Amino acid sequence: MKNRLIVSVTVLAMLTVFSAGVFAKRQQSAPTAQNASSPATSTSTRPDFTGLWMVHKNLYSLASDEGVMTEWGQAKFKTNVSDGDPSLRCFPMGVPHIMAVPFPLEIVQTPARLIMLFEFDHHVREIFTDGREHPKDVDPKWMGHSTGKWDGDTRVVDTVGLNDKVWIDLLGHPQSEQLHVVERLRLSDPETLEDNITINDPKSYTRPLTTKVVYTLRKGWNLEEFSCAENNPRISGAKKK
Amino acid sequence: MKLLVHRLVIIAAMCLAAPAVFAHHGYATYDMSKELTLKGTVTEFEWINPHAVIDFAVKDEKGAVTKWTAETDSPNILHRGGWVKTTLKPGDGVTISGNRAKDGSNDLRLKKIVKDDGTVLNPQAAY
Repeated sequence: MKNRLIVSVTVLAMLTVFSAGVFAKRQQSAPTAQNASSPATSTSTRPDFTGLWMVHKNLYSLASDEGVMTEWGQAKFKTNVSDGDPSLRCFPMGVPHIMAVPFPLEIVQTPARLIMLFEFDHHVREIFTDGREHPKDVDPKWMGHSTGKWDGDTRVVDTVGLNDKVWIDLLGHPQSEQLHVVERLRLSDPETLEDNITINDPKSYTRPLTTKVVYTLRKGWNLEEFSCAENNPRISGAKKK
Repeated sequence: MKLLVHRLVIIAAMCLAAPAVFAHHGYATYDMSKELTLKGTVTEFEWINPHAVIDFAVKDEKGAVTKWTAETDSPNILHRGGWVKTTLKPGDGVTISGNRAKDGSNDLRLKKIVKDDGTVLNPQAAY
């Protein structure tokens, strides 16, 4: 009886240690240098977002309703829809749009950067986590300028310097050069990544828009080749061979 | 005057040469609130980026045939969901569900296909 009790306690202890190790696996490995940007936070809680992720569902609209658009936003929306989706002409989708489309996203976490590799036309997004600030008078670009800081176990990503040539979503809702995107990235469990996105664009919208994108870790997947330039002749208007 | 005519000719030529692009592609051109289901026969399956396209013919009770097109996800995404480029072939009998183009044209954003042999094809099986 005594031996059986000892065996049971030992097995229980081993199981506890093993499961703690599994759950800790994606919480560790944040290198020391990476933590230099926010030394106030404990290193033990820093998650590692490295891996290949896929959205749970296609969030084709990031604007809750049409009424949230300003007069300028409504006019731009009409023009956008009339002109067609720029991403189908192989332009970068921009931020936040590219975070919500159903294409795999690989994240590589380094001490100084969070690098996002998108399967869609192999666009790349760099999020600087070395403590730098946004440049002054940042030139508007497709993917903008992003910096990241820790807030506990959440990576807060701040993006400015975005142009008005892309849509915030697949329905054509507009964005202006005033767009400021704040994302809160965290692991809700070791294989689930959440990106809570706040879209501030007073030129386009009467209030901030918020949305949550959820991704699943896809261990068996790799980024595959994708060439938007191959194009569908019906989309590009090119002659079919 | 001669210059004006010359310019008008150039503009007219440009208009004629401009392809009807972006007419029915991307989510913005479909009414995502309404779903339509049609029974027909595949005439072509284009396995191409950025979006694969299925052409199919629908015959009405009087035998009149209408051409339809269903736009779907990229080959990479379809492949991860179990599709291959020969998943659909000309002649395949299909029941296709999707969201119709807002302008009422015969274009759908694909949601589901049920082949006549009972195979169910979900374009979003990978996510």
